[in-house]
Amino acid sequence: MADKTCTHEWTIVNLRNGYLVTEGCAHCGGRASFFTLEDRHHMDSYIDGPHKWRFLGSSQAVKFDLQCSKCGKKVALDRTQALGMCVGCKEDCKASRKGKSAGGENTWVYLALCAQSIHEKGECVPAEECRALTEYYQSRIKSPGKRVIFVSCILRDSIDFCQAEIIADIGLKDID
Amino acid sequence: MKVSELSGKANLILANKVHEKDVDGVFISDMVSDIVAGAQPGNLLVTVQTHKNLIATANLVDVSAIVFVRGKQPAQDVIDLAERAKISLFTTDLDAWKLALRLHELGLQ
Repeated sequence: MADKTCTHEWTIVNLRNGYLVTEGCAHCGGRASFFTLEDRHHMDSYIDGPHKWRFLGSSQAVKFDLQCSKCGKKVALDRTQALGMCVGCKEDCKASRKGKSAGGENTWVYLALCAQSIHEKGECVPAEECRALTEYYQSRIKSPGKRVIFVSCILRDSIDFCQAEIIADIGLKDID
Repeated sequence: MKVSELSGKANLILANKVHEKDVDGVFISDMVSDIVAGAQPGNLLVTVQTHKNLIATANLVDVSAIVFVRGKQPAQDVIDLAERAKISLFTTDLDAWKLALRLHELGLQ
C-alpha cells in the first residue's frame, strides 16, 4: 500500500525497449514525439484535427516506470516520452533558470519531454513524474555536491532554438 | 580503484583532466538508451559512442569515467561538456573485449 509519508526509494520497473518517433506538422511547424514498441511506422502524412503530421525520424529508445521498493507506490511515466539535458544555452530560459535557483553550478537540469512540442492544450509532463525522476536519479548520485533536477519541457523558451542534448540513439537504429 | 589509477594500471590515454572518483564496476554499451536505464553510479563506462549526448547520459547516471575504445576520439565540444560535468575521458586502441579482460585482471567486476 502506497504510503504518503514514505521517503521513496525508486527502482525502474516495466522497462521497455522501443523507438522514439518524431513527426512534424506541415501546417504549424510543431513537432510530436512519442515512444512506440512498433518496429514499423507509417511514412505517409496524416491529418489529425488542424495538423498534418509527417514522419521526420526515429531513434532507438527506452521507456520505464518507477516503483518505490519501500511502499510499493508506482509512478507510470506515461507522459514522459524522452529525457534531455539542459546545456544552459539561453540564460533567461525558465528551464535553465530552474537549475540556478535550485543550487547553481553543480545542479544539472534535465528535461522530461512530452509528446507535443506545441503544448496546444497547455499540458506537459506532470509534476509527479518530474519529481519521481528527480528523486530516482538524485538518490543514485555518488559525486559530492552534485544535483540533478527534472523539469517539464514546457518550461523551455523555444523548441526551435533549444540545444538540449536529447538522450536517444539518433541514427543508430532507425525504424525503416 | 580510483580514476587517477586508470591511466597507469590499464594503460589508457587521458583525453581531458582527472576528476577523481572511485571506480565501481564497469558498464559496456554504445547506446545511450541502454546506459540511461542500465548503468550504475560509479561505473566505468566503456563505449565507441562519441556523440555529445553520451556525456548527458553519463552525467545523469553519475559514471566515474568514460573510456572510448577502438581508437575513437571525442570531439572538443564533447571534451568541454565532460569537463563541465567533471567526468574524466580516456581513450585506448583496444576493443571493448580486450579492455574488459584487462580491467577484469585489475580486479574490476
